[in-house]
Amino acid sequence: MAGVNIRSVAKTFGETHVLKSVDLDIRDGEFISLVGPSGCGKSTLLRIIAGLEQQSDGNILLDGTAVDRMRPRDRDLAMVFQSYALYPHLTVAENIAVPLVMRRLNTTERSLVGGLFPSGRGKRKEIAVEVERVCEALSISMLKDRKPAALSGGQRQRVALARAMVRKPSAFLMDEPLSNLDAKMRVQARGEIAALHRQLGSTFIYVTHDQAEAMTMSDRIAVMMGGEILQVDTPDRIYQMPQDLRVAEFIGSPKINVLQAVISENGTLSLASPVSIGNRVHAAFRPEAARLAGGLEAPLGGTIHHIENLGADLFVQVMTAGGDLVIVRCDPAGIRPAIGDKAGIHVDETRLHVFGADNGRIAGAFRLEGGR
Amino acid sequence: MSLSASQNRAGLALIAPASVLALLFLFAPLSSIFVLAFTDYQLGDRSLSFVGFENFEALADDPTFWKSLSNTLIYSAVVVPGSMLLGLVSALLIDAGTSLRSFYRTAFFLPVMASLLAMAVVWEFMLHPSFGIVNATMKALGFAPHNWLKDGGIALYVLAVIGIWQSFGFNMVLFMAGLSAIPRDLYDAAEMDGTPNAWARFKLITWPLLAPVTVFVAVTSVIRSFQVFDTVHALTQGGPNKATEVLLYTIYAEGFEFFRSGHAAAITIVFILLVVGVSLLRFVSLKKNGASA
Repeated sequence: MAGVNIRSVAKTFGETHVLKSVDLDIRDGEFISLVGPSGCGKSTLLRIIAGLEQQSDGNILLDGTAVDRMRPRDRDLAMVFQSYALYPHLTVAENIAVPLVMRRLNTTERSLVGGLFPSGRGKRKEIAVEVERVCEALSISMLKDRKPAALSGGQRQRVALARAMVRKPSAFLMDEPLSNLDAKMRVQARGEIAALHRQLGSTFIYVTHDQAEAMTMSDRIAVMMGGEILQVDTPDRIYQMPQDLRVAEFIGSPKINVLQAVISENGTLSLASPVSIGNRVHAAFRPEAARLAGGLEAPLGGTIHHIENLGADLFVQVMTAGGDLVIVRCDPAGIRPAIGDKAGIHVDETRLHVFGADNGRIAGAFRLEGGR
Repeated sequence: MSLSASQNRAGLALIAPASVLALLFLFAPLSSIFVLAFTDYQLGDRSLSFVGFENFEALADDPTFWKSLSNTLIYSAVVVPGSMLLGLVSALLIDAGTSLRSFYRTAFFLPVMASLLAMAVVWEFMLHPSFGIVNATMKALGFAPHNWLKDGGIALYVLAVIGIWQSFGFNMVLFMAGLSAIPRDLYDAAEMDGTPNAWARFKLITWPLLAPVTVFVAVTSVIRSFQVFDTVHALTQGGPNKATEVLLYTIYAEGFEFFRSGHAAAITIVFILLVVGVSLLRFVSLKKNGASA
């Protein structure tokens, strides 16, 4: 069990700043996701925590101890790789045994003649018992004698998990472990990994570019972009109170609606046209914070451009007069608009987010006006 | 699956050029060797007569042939492990290095590209007993100089060293290709799994995953070492006192210096059997690997 503290960690490759002074405190037993678009530095950060990569600056603390000069072997962490990185020439059981074999057996006991030494034989037996236990926990016992090439993607992913679990590490590092699975398997694996976390109670650090994975599994999410952490919060707060426009845009599907607006002293937002003068801001609201309304009283309006019917939800895309595409969630049981219809959009102003020109959140109560 | 007549014709047309070439340059010479081996033909003769297994019986009693065969096997036993080990080690070092990779790769591969006959001349100068750089270095370091190519006890091993120098670059390139096919993730995983040192990682990942390449390199190295000829011809002509007599050189000498074509053909058949045997070993090991993967 270990908390992980990341203290102003920076990483540069030549001229490229992959990480710009990242701070993050991960609590013991927490499931935290590092989420962001590709190239945001999340994988690099994970590899620095693991010790596979050396940071250019800053410190990594495990359980309060700096581990910067420590090799991965000595950090007591386990990692699940995107490719699973199973040893192709070893059987499932042998793969899972590797972390134990490497740590418990010495060079002679590992060698071909290792079986001749009673100490080695005893340890091998213990290891076999522990491998069996992990295999049962993940219900892969029947695969033990197969080689990775003979496994499906989902099975490989379980074997990779088993190899990480067998040693009971103080924290698990997961680098996009589900991205090689098909959509259906992914949803199932999401539930399994979350359940595994509850059961083991260890720290999980989970890297993903998929905001749905981060939202569904994590205690907290750290949204990263351009080598920085923009916000660290619970999934609820990340979704409902994004502190940065980029966070708001990255989290949530379909994407949050963002409109250019001009803000007045008293908090009234007028939708901006290219020629508007004044204090320009971004007004953002999620599809479910808006509803279609009759044309005239609504501050926003336009023509219905496309309707996405997902069964449980109806996402209506409205092309506004200003040329913005606004997505509004509708109840499929309600009145169904038709493509080409004129419609007004009413926005729940309590769920309206306003971000300044620097992308930072502006707190306060706002009123949205058409202004055009 | 059955093919239509036109598909059959197209297929035959497509394999025709390769078949003709193979017939002309592979099967025709091979079969004439097989015929010659059972005759008393001598180069330039107008007639020949079949003598059955006489040539092979003569071989069994021919000390030169046995010397030549054992020399070839000794040469092979030195050059194959030497060039494989050196090739593997240099491939690993270059693969682990960060700078000058292509420089080292080119430098080590150059001897493979160079004409061995020309290189042999250079080696001859370097190994010259009185003004060669090798003896000069030995003397400077306080060792006794040797007459490298004229000393029957070491000449074969000197040729083997030249053989290693000439061929390890080829093995290195093959090993490098094999190394580049090993996913980097595996080494990261091994690091996380607690492999204590580079040797443990090599045993866990590199060596087993290189196995198919290693088998291939071993077979090609054995066959290439059986084919040693240029250096022998240029440097020692099989001497001193047949100390460096190798199969290919014996074939050449018997066939084109003593004009005993039937005899040379018989040795050639022994040589071919050796090469085919080694190739079969590779075939068997490939099949075994393929079945277990």
